[in-house]
Amino acid sequence: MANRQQFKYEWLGLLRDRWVLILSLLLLLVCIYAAYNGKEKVAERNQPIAKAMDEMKASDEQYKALIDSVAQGLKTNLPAWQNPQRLNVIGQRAARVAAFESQPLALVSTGQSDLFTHLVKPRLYGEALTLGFSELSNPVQLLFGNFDLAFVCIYLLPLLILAFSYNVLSAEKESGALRLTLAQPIQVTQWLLNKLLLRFVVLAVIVVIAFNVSLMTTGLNVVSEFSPVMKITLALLAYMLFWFGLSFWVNLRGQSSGSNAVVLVSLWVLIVLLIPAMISQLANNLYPVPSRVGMISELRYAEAEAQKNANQILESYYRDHPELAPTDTSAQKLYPFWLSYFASQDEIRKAVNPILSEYESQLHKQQQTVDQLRFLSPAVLLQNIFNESAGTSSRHYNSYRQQVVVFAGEWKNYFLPRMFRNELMKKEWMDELPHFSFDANKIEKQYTADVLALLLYGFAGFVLSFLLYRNYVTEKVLLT
Amino acid sequence: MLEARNLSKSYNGTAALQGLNLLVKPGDIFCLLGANGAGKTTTINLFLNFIEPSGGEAVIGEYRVTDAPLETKKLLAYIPENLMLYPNLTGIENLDYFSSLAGKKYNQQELGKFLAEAGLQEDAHAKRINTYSKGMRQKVGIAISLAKQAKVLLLDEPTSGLDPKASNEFAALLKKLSQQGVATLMATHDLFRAKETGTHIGIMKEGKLVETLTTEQINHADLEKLYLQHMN
Repeated sequence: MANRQQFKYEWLGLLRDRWVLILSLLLLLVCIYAAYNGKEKVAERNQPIAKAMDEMKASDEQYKALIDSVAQGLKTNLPAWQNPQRLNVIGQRAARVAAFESQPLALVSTGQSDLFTHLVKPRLYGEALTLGFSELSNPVQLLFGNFDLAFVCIYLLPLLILAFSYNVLSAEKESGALRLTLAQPIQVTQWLLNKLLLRFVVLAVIVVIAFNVSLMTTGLNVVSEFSPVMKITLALLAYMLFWFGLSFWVNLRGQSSGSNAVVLVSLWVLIVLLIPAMISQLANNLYPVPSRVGMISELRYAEAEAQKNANQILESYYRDHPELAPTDTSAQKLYPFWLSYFASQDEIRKAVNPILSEYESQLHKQQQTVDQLRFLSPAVLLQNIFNESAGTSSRHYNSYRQQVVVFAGEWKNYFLPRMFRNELMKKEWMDELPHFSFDANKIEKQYTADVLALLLYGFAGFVLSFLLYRNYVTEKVLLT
Repeated sequence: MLEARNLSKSYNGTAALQGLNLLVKPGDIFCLLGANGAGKTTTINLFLNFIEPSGGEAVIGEYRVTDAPLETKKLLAYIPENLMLYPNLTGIENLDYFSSLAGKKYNQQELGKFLAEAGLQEDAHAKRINTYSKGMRQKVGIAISLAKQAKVLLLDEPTSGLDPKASNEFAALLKKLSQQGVATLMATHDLFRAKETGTHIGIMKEGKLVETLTTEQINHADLEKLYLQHMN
């Protein structure tokens, strides 16, 4: 009963405090702005993809018509080397768009999306594909530069919680009301816990409403995305609980409001800024990614060597792939240059493979280190959850890269046997060309581990403080 | 009802209270006089369990304060020199809140009655505390002790800063409570008020109770003389 009355009057007190209303409205506005910002980012990402897709469709139609015309012996104004009946022309010029389209919740977290490309066209020849993906060396990027919902929740929300709770005990001590309170038959720890719990519930309701409303303003269907939104919400609540727990502990220390504020802001800097930066640095120091420039120069060298020996290479290539060798040697006239080129490409690939796999394995180790160290900071855990739900995590981009490499192989394998068989492109083949679609199911899910760790952090603060200050001496609170 | 047995408190070797023995029976109003730093507030803080005694014990009812702080706090009401309440809440809401912390539940009518009994004018009941004067806040404090049905009243210079009329009203309330059997321990600087309302007077100096007497034994002039004698 005492608790119920306490909640009632705490609630009344909060309700009559103009700041609570102002901060709630501010939070809502900030969330709406962040969601809008996130939506803009997603649009920036999807626009080039849509454009490339449209272009691809248009050019496919054009090629079909051209192939038809050439097959019927009509004259086209294309130079001979662009003859659409040539498989190498199609394989190069009608490349498929391998796009990483945004997932429905992409707007909540920019994550790695502003670092990586979402659009690649694997062609039949040219630079090795693994090199075509901008920056690979930093899979961590625990810099949250963008003003998106993840930023608001990870960075700003803790500050709001601290502003809401840093002086719950000290303000009463400083105003003098605490003396009267402590003259009542109550446990100060329980009484403070009630106060913070109420604030937690009030703020949780505000945050959940602000979060969902801001998502709805972007046109996202919260109902159809219920499960991922709920997952983020649960993680968010655990994260909030963690900060309230921290505040509970600092309050119980019984220091002045000013001292509480300094301690809590320092903890905020540590947890939100320093630890993530340290994790990133540590991963880079332990497993530095080998130089990309070195890799490229080795690749060029291997390419030049292979080019020199193109003829021998083709012979040895035929030895390795007897099924591709022409039965009638005089008939192989359509693609002589390309065939030795591909054979040499094969050699190049073999030569640079160790470099590439070294590069990959370092990257993998680095990512693993980060994966393990993420448990050090609730902020990193929540960022990971946001990125996973948004489909913008490093894991997503690594997977996308690997999937594109696999697709590039498929693309090549479509054309190569046909070229060795000395065939020409047919119109109907245009519709059966291999196409790329990103498979998000291939990505390891870390949500369960993340959210459990967050919940553990959330409750640990309260439980430890409670145990530590169960027999709290009021002398300390009142007379220091 | 309220008893100190050889009660001592020292801070880092400096004695703030030395071997205090006193007994306040139901209906008594025991006034502690003494200069600032004589140990009056320390005594009250010890009864409130706000500080730990270095020696001896403070007893309220049948309980030692340090053994059963929650039980003893159910019995007592406390009014500090400057009673602070929740400024965002009204008088009646503050009363409801604090009496609920004490484990009591009343309806609005009953709460209003306590405030009226404490002498708070009706039109102030539903006003927020931030519009209250000090005297009005002290009256809410009295109402809290009425609502709590406290058997013991601990008052730390409750009338300092009150105007004479308010001070007089306050004294009348104390007498009324005393007639109902409440044991009161009051630290004060007001010799006149102590003589008028108190049943017993104790003079403290440097942490020791140097004189105890009943108010019937002495008149105003002699009390002042005696007090000054101890202070010099």
